Amino acid sequence: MIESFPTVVRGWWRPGARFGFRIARRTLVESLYLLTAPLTAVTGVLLVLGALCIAAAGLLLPGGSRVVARAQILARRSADAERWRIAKLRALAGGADRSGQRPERPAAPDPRLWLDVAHAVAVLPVVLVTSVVTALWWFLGVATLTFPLRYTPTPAGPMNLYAGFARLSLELASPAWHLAFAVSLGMALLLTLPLETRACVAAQAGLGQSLLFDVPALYRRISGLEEERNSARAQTVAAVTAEAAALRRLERDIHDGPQQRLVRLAMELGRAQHHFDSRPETARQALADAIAQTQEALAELRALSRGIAPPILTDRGLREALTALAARSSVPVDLDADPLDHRLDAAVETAAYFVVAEALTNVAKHSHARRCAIGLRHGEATLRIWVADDGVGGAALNKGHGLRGLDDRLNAAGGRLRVTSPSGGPTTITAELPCC
Amino acid sequence: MLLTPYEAASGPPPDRGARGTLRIVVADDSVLLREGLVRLLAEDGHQVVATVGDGPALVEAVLRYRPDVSVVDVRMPPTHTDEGLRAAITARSHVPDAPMLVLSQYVEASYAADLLADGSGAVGYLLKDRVARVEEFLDALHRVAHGATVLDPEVVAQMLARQRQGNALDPLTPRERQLLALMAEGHSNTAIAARLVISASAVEKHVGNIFTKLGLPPGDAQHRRVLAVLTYLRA
Repeated sequence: MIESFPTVVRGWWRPGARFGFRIARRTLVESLYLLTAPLTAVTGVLLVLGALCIAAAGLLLPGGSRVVARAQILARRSADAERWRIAKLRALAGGADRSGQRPERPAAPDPRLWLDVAHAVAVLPVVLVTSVVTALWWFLGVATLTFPLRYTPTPAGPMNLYAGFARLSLELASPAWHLAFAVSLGMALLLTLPLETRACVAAQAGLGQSLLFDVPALYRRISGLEEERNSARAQTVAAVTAEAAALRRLERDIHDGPQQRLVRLAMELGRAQHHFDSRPETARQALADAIAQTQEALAELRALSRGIAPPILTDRGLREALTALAARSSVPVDLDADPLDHRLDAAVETAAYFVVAEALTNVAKHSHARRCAIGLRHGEATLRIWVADDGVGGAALNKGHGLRGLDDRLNAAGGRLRVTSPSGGPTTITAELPCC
Repeated sequence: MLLTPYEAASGPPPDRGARGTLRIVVADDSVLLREGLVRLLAEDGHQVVATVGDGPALVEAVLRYRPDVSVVDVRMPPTHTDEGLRAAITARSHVPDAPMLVLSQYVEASYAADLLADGSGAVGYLLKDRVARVEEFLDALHRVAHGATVLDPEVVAQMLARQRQGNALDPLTPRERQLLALMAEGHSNTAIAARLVISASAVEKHVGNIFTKLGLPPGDAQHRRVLAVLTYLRA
């Protein structure tokens, strides 16, 4: 199909016009940005100087820390304004460059005051150069292009250009040549204006970009990584602490439990031997006592081994182990546990089990509760367990009750503990553990 | 079998039957063991004047009752570490030479050295298990009450293991070391003679050599024996 000529022209012309319009618009916005820059830059430096004076005065005054804080906010005003200006420039001048790449947060608060102040000082000389060059470019371009409008034909000599004391004769004698030269010079200046503004914006906004956006972003990234590292470290520390605490407790439990029983057992056997011939009745009583101590020692050893690695947890998994815990509790327990379709990670199972075991011990010891409930939910990537009772409340992480140790144990497994226990009750202890 | 003042006179060891009733303070935080001990002591005719469960109470009881001997558990509240040991040392600083028999679930040579540091004897340091050998335990109790030093063979064994590396005991011959070990366990010269199958005068000669080699000044033989054992512990 043959297109008619106007359509072809229009088809060719339209993108060209659109392109020209876009360039013109961008140049105007950039010029506005560059020409208003001296105002904001000078204001910025004045703000920084003012803030410096206020801060110095604040340091001398008693209790001037609030004054210093105010001064800091003041010092950052210019940086905030420049961030806003750069963001605005990017939005209005079109996505020719980096603006489209990332959504800028114009006034993203950043702890690094010195970058803002450094920008306010560093940008001033740049602004002086770019604004003067831009202003001259505009002025010369418009002035020469409009020269024909102001032209009154006079018999003139050769056209001269003055630059200081140097004089350049262009040897353009006729008025027509004068006009032609002025118009073409004006055209050339205005046509290269987009390039000029582009270069100036690149220099000036580039400085702002790096000092106000890029470096702070880098710092944020660094501090983010540092935080990650610190939390990983804290997790390791929590794991070590939890393990050390568990071992100390184990040693105490052995010392206070079976070891005492066995010493007493030995003592009674010694007594029995001692009195065997002279006082058989005492010997018999000592032997009976010895048997009782043996049974107690065995019971304590069983309880201890359950405390180290509960056999039912290892053999049957978390749900069965919780059922067993609930059955042994002295306070009646309602167990509400989802069936688990697979065995969980051993660390998660153990942490979850001990949360419930410790919580039930606390319920029995401190809460005076009549009933309590154990819940277990296995979500997308977390295991949530909770123990709630209708007791007197008042439990807290920093109050002992073994909750601190539980928190460490959970942190070590990447989980966390929440304790809701207003005075007067009820108490709910919730643990969340990451697991798959 | 223990260091006693009577031996300084190198006379015959005291007749066991002649020991009298002792007034005793028992310090142990475990009710279970306290009860057992009190019964054991009472059945042997002793008088338990006070039972306490922590360190400060022990010091107070020793000050108030001036017992013939105190039986002290090392580990007591509030710290559950070496509370009893420190309380025993404090009590002895208030009541010099107050006899202390310290019992522990485990023995450490450094604890024994702390206990003996004042060099005046009348201390014992035994594993709790030794209580089961009732005769020996009661015997040790009597000897401590009368100023002797009784150390658990376990402590002595630790010493033997440690002294392999060169130290103050280097000048001693193997025989003399053997003798010193037996002295530390509380054996008398007569008992040592019987055990090593040598004459009593040979033992005395060895003991004299040990004192000289360790550089202990001449004086009260009992005191020198305590110092010798102390040197041994610190070696």
